[in-house]
Amino acid sequence: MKVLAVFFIFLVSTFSPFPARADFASSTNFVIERGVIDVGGSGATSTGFNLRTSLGQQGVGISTSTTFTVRGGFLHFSVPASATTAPTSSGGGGGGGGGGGSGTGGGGGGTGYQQAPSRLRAPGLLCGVDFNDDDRVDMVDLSILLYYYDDTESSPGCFDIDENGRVDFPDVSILMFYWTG
Amino acid sequence: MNKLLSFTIILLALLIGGLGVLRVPAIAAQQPLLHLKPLGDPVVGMPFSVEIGIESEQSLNAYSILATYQPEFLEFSGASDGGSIIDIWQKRPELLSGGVIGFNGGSFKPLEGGYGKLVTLNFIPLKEGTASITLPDSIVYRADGAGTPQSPLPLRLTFQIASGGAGDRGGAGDSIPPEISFSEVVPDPFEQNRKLLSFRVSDSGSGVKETLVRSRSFILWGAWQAAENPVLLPAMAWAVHLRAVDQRGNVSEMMLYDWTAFLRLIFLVSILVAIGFVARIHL
Repeated sequence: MKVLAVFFIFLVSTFSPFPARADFASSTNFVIERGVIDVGGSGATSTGFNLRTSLGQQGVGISTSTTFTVRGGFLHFSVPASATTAPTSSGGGGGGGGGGGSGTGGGGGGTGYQQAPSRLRAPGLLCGVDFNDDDRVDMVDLSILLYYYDDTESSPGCFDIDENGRVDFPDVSILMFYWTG
Repeated sequence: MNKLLSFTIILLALLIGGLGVLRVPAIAAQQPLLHLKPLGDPVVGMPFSVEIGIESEQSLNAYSILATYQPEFLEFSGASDGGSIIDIWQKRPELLSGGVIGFNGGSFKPLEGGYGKLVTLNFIPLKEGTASITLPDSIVYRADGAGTPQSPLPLRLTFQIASGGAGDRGGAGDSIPPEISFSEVVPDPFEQNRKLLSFRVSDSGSGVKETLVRSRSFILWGAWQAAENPVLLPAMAWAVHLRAVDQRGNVSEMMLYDWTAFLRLIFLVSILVAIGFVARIHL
């Protein structure tokens, strides 16, 4: 009887129907379902400022060198006017607030970054048509674009390829014109 | 002692269960399922269609499908997209090589649970015997904003082709022409002075057979060219003629004009005429 009881308790606790839940944070205005904290950077100095500490995503921006261009940041919605002088970081890792512009530190890719073909990425426009940044325009990009098709609730951003204020059929046509497969 | 032992065992059982060491892993959401539905019984010489569909619990919005068949038993005669959940075709169903048909497309509204028809493939059975149609390699994409690909399991439909006399290969009549639901000349945002013809054609009956485009840059029309959306237009094109034909020969046509290009042409011609006139005066 005791063995049966133990076995029953074991079964119940092992096959419990209650699902595991991922951590999430919420506020009255938003819910973060999968919080991500990037690696923090340590202090950095420049002639014009002193960065004590930083935490979170890299700063958005484009930094150029003679041999490569780094598009730092998580989401690009605008192209800055000019590259800024990168601070000299005394720590490693990415996530420092200035972005890894000149290739020092872990930054936004540093050396070895390959610039995508110009027809996939269009400097001066919001984005190209390679939405997942794999140097191809294929079904994944079509799927991403269709996810935002006719979406009136959020700003079209990158997906409004022809910049007419909405994601509509001409945007799909333009993406298919640059199809690489 | 016995009580202590029992208590320990119970505690251990709770601990093991609670830690989930032997917990049954969460059952993965069901993979999308492809379906092959024969529409009627195959008879030699008579049209025979097979519907390809997809069933999924998760939202899907793009599909890339390959279908194979035996060319010695079946002749591929086209595809019908009537009732399809695919709104935009990157590649309409076409014969890629002997016995291989492929198509890609996406949906403006994702398939959110349940079944959706993708396309109907039309064949003419050529001889008696056991034939099959297979979906060996397909990828569908989740409507999650990231285009996460999923691979449904391969599927095979086997069927018996019965003998029959010569029948009407044309099949039931379809008198409704294709619908050109969208057509517009759009500038290419990546290249100045380049413009594209963006259009969307569908046919709920026998399916779209072909779309043809010709343009007029000066006075005369260019030649008809088979085209899929989108079409790169000549820089000076000021008129575009679009024609859609379905499998039964029904035709829909649309004319589009780029008046900016037309005015540019008029201006250019006026300059040339003026130059010629001035030259004539002075000679």
